[in-house]
Amino acid sequence: MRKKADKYLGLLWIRMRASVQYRFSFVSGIISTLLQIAIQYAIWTQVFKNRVSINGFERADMFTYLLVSQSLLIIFSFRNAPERMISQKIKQGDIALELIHPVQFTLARFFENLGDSVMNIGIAILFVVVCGCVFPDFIVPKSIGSVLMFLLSVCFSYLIMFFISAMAGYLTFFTMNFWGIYNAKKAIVDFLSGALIPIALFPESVRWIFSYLPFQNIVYTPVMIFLEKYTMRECGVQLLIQCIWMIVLMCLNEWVYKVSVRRISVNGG
Amino acid sequence: MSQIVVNDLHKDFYVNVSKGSGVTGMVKSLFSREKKTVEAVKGLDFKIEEGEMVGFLGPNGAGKSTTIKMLTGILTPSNGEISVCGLTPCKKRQQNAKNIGVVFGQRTQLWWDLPVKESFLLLKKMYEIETGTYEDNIAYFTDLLDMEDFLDRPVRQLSLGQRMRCDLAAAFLHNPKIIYLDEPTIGLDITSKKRIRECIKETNRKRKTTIILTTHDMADVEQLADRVMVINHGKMVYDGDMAGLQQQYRRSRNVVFTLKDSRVAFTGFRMDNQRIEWQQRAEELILKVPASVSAGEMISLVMAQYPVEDVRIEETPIEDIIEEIYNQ
Ligand SMILES: Nc1ncnc2c1ncn2[C@@H]1O[C@H](COP(=O)(O)OP(=O)(O)OP(=O)(O)O)[C@@H](O)[C@H]1O
Ligand SMILES: [Mg+2]
Repeated sequence: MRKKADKYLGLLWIRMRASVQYRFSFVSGIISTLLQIAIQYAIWTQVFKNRVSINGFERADMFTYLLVSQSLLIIFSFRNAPERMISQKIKQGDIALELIHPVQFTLARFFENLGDSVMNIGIAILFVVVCGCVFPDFIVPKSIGSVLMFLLSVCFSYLIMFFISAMAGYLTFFTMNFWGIYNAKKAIVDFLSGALIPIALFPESVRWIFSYLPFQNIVYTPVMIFLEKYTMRECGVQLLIQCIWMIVLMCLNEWVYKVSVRRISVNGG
Repeated sequence: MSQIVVNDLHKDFYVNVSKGSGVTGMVKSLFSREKKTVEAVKGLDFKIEEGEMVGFLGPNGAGKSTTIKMLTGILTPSNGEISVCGLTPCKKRQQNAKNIGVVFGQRTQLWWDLPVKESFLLLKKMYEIETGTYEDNIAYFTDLLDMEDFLDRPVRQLSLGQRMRCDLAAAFLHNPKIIYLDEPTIGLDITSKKRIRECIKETNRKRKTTIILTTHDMADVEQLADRVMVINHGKMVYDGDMAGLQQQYRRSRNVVFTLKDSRVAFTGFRMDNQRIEWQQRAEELILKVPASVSAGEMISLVMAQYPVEDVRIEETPIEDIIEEIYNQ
């Protein structure tokens, strides 16, 4: 069992070390995040100029939402997005070589991805802590329970995001066009996850549709938990929904993987 | 049971045929796609025992790599059965992976950005290699393949020969029962080739590792393989030892006489109603003897009529024999 874990932790460690070599891309990533925040901050300031709240969102809520959601995006902005790793392996035919190693393909990719994310996670935490100290407007959760549930929720988000990305990667088997799929995925996730606009601000009917999609579980749910917008009971329900989505996407991903590998092993990729 | 058993192995690929070139071709292929079947492997049968060293030959496109990929479990056969150490490779991929080591000469299984050492360490974890075994193996192969100088360098900085040596060591690291080598000496210089051959030979002898090797370099085969399997157009054309190959496919061999006197002119020769091709250069006389004719008889006939100083028989080079088979 320990040895099994060692395999995958080895992959994680390697990627983590490699990611340190790309310090520069972190700096540029942070700058673009700060720009995003500045722009959105300016917009929301205008919006809140002559009103106190929209659909239960006040200025401070909005500001906190903005910072927390952006820091989640930092975590999810995988430098080596799973779809990129997977589609590269497909294109260069390396996927065949990957298959001669005694590891489970998806699990191996997950740990590589986690290795890539370690730096991002550190930065995101730092980011939130600094904001919490510097900005008086920033709402910090009042109970430790909320913080713990927020962290659990982020774990689910991470997995959900990973499976969606991985599936996008397998799609390149069939289309052989990575950038198209990557951009489509990014646009969909940014918009439907609530990363751009809190879903609470959308009209009722749109919210109803969104609630049947997995995307709002990626950003909206954890941030709402952070803002303590849910009661204890609602929190539990939301976490359960996230968990269910995670399992559904995991199964779906496994299926897509199997289809893709069958395709490789039948037709040589 | 034999270690590797292959029964009636087939592999078909379906490829899209593009209709014409340019824009019209593109538009046409948008609407209908014609599929063409490429039969890469057409009914192979063979068995390989533990500890054998098999040279797997065939011209470009014969189906060697395809067969190896099926043996490793990367490709699923279209028809037929494979059993490797009692497992069906494509069904038990991970289990099978532990029993085998693979080198695809054209690719690397190492991590491009990692120093070689780190790649090895990662493989240690992946294959769950005991620390003792691992350290012994690293020391053994570092020495055997002379890798000391570049173990700390990232793989992408290595020359082809250096990388190939690392890949070979990587394939052996977990003491696999079987090693598949698909063109392990491609593009290497004489020294690197020698080193790689030595390593293959040594591990086969000392560890009883079964080795299956494809190559286009006949010297590899001559020096390494006890047994050769030759395929052409996806079918087995020869399976047996080297000597048998020579016997079966040898069309002729040259008998070279050195005459005592260069002024003696050879006047031609018939044996068993066949005209023997010949050629004379000063005192050297070369006769091309067909496989059906006994060289011994011919030599005694010539010696009876001409003043002969010296005789030697030149076997047909293995390259010529292989070429003969390939062209059939
Ligand atoms: N993925 C694929 N899709 C379609 N056809 C393929 C595929 N892979 C191989 N083939 C075809 O199958 C045949 C056998 O190819 P293979 O690579 O096994 O040859 P080989 O014996 O290894 O040749 P070489 O000596 O050039 O390496 C070839 O005609 C090749 O074009
Ligand atoms: Mg080949």
